[in-house]
Amino acid sequence: MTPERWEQIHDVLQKALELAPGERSAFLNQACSSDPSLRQEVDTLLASSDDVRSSFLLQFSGPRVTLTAGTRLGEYEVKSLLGSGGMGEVYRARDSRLGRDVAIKVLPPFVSSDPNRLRRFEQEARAAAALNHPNILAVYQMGTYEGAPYLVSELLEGETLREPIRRGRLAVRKAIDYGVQIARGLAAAHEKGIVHRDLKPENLFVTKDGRLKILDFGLAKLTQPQSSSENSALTLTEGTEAGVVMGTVGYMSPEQVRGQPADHRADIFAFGAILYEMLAGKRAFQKPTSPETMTAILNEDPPGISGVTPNLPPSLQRVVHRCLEKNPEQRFQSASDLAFALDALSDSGSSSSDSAVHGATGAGRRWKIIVPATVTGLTLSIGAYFVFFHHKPKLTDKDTIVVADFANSTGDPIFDDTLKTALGVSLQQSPFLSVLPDSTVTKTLQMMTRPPDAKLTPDVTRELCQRAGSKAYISGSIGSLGSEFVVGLKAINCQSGDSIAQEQVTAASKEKVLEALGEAAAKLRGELGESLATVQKFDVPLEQATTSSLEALKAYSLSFGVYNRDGSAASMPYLLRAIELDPNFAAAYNEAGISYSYLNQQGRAGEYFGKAFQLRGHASERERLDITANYYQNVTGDLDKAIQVFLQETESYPRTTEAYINLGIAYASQGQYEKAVEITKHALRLAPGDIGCYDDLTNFALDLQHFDEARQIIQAAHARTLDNRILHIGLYALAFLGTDPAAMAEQQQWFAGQPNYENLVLALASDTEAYGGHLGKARELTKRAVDSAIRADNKESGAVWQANAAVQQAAYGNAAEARQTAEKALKLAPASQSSEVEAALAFAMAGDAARAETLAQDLGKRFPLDTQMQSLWLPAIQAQLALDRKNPVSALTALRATTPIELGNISWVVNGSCLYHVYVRGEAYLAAGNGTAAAAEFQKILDHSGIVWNCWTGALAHLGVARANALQSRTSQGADADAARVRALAAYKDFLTLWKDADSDIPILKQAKAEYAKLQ
Amino acid sequence: MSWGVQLSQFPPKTVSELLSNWQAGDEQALHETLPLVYDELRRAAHRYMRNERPDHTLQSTALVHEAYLRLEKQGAAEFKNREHFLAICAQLMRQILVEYARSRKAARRDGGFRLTLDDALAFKTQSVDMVALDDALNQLAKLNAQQSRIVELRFFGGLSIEETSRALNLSPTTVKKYWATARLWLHHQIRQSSDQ
Repeated sequence: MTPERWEQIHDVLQKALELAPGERSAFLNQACSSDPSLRQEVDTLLASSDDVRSSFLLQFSGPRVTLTAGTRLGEYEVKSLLGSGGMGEVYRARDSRLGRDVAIKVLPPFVSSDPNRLRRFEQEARAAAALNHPNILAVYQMGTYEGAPYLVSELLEGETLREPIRRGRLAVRKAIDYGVQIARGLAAAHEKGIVHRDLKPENLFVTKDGRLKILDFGLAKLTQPQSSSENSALTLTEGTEAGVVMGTVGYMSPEQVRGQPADHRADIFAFGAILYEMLAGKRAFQKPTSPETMTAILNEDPPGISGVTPNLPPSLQRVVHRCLEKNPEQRFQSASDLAFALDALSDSGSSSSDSAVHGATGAGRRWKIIVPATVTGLTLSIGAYFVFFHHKPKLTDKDTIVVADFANSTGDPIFDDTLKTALGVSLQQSPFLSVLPDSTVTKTLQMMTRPPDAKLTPDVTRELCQRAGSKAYISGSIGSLGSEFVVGLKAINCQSGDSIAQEQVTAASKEKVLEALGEAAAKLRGELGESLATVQKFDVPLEQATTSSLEALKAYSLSFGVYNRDGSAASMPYLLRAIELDPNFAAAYNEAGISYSYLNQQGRAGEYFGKAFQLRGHASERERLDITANYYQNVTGDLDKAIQVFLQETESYPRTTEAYINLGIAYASQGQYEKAVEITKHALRLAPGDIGCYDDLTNFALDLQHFDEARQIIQAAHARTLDNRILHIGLYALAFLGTDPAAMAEQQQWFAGQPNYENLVLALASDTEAYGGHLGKARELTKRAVDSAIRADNKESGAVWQANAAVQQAAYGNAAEARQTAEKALKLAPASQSSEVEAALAFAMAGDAARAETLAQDLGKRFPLDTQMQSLWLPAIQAQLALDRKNPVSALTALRATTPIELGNISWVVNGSCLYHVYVRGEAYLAAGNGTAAAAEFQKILDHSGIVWNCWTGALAHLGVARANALQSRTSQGADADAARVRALAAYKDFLTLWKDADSDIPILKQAKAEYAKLQ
Repeated sequence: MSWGVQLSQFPPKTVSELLSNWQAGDEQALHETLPLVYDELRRAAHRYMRNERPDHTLQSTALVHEAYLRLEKQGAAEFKNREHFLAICAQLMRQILVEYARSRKAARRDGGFRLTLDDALAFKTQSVDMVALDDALNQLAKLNAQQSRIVELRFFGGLSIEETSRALNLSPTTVKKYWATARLWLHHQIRQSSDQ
């Protein structure tokens, strides 16, 4: 094509585009009458005009619409930009017809890229425009401009309610006055069926003459996920929006936090939070991070206002508390009731407001009190102003820093990695500073095409710091001066290269170097802008926080590099060496515990976590919290306690990723997967390169049956070249759930040549075979898994695979084999909690009650605080024993304890959980003759295939459903009985189809076939 | 954001001023400009990431950083005004994204996997074949250079019709018409190349 030809096509094409589709043909007939090939070209291009609407070119075009002065939108002429923000821009415009100024809010085009969303916006906006109330912003018109929807409204002058609140708590009378106005506006809207859903001080406007206006009705819904499915999709808000979300979170009602449908009573809750804030001068629910705020909204009552604002009328406090009831049913049921209740207080409020401000003093003394208060207020604000401009902090708590390698000119290699690690420990005590995580350092080095263990010289560090978007880097040096050592620290702005802080200290001897470094680091923290209070609070002297042995610290430091390069197994010798050099090195025990748990050796991990816990006094505050939480999570198994410590950790160190990750895992162990996802997404926001977050999110998505999302998460990790076994196991699970044997084999192949994890994938394959009833193959694979585990010095995993197999053999009816396998498991790893519980269950199922009883008693004594032990495993074993004694009622009673956490993740199995306790409960209902309840239990297993996946319970649940329905058909009459019989036949068929090529000698299969034949 | 009277966060004049200071040799001016222009760059960068990946924050941040680093490396060029500056940014964005997409393709071919840019930039290439788009834009430039520039500014730079018209010194009506037909042509072209 030539430019001239294209010019011709363009001319005709753009004219055609300006016409309505129906008129185009006539126009083209005429315009191309002499040139049929022109017509053809234009037609081809026009044909794609429909596609182009949905294509990237339109989706991505015009991220926002900017209006310049003079632009006309209908009868409005734009005059100037008033403000802009995440949800668009607001302009002042002139309505020439009515001769008044209006405000025009232009929303970003993404709002309109989805037709459904746009339609909803229009509906809501029209409804809001229909609202005519003095306390609601009047909306005059709406339309679209260049694809961006806009709203025309009255122009207000004044400020948002946020401003007066920021200046301090409001006088009671004023708060009531504003409250009544808001409530009246809400009542008018609710009457028309319009709910705000995003009420907050920022959405309430106080005009110059004291009138209160509710803004943005109908917009709130736009900014929120549209449905629960969208809600659960993995969508993180962008960085700048996080603040907005966080700001809004504090006013969300519990039902909104849970993602449940919210009606007008959600507005009442938000209203309560705002009234509280006006009266108390601080938020009702304010925590450092949004997940914690959400937790508080769900579970906590806000601190009593009377503590902050004395002499508040009790009736007013009651109004606030009634609005803030967790259960919508217990709140005011309508905004007009609320307006009425508040209005009634406004008379008494005028006197009580006086007494609240002035206490019991007489009217005559009023001025004396007010005047100094005003003056102080003035001085304070000037003071703050002064401080802000003259002592601007060098870093803010949003910045990250990078630590460079030390320049060591002493000639003694002991200082090489050691001082950097020590500095890291010292800086990480600070809740203010955030050191760029190792994972991000490695990734960024990769992007700079440097090896992951490249030396971080000042030049390399500066570039790395720039690329990672960090603010500054710390470069340290050590040199010797006679017998003394000089340690220097310098913080450098990585953009400008300017030094922003520096410290130099001298150590009298080699032994004093760590102490000196700790001292220098503490001073540097202060210089960088951290408050003295937190520097003092979180400053365990370095030699106490880590170790007084430089050699031990060296080994400990080296372990991290090795871990990053070669993984847990390789780093272990360094950690053990560090412990050998300093037997009181708490952090090294803790790290060893973590490494063992990565290697699936929970027993050993527990020993090291326990030791670290004993020595936790020898650790920095941050390490101490970490050690304590690990102890509760992995040793005593007390999930509530672990959660408490993690929450404490996130409170002290809101930017620490690990605490959030672990908190997520703890919630998952309780089966609270939604909460776990929320927290883990927050962790991912803090550390976008952390593979642990991807691992956990993958598992949680599976647990929640969100299979597409699980796959997307894995793909997202892979796109960032993050990869590990957990993601591949996730893919294996997805392949299994999608019945794709080729994909399963492919994932299995990934593990080839990884001696530490070969046993794991063999065990997985064994479970898959057992699920399909191929017991011969399953036996063979379990044996190989056990052998491989023993070769990898991981007897505990071997024992777990055996114990797993034993439970399955018992369930399939091979009791003698089950007992033997369980014995083998106990012999292989005598002290393993995980294999012991499963062996106990296997014995109970295989008829060896005595053996099961002894084991259960022992476990109960050894793990008195372990949440899952006490609430899942022991009840399941007791229930099975009761079933053996033909006492289903007592079995069901025992299993009652399992209900709250029954869907929780089990840490030592590869899938989420086999849901044994649910299976046993199903069996118990069968034995009790309650077919309906039994069917529900077995169905629960089938409905949670993302938790169970290839575990045998998933296969036998089909049979369970069949038996439950058969039972129901026997115990009911007429049509009910017939229907149950049909369901039973279908379920038997499902099971027999699943096991169509199963080994024929499996006892439970023979029974199933006989039952099926009898029923037919 | 409220409906009330507030100051604009981004007065265009300031950016232009800073830019001219930068040209006058004041290195610091670029750093001062960054926070102001940052939003613009980010908005442009975000469009690739939206609805794409869970971790798009870092990705677009990385894209902006990369553009910024290149801008800095280039040194103070002649910037006429804010639109011109944004136009240069659009060019950089295109360069970065296309280079990245090409390196991905090359890496796939020789089986290796080496990234020159943070792999965090891994936006979903399925939805926009950056390489095909780049090729098509180059072809369009031969037919009508201005149309190709319009797409670059709108798509890679995130400029509005108004801004584009100022940057290219064309009337908004012309920009609109060119943009409309260029879109159809590109769409057709890219689809053809993917069918082959």
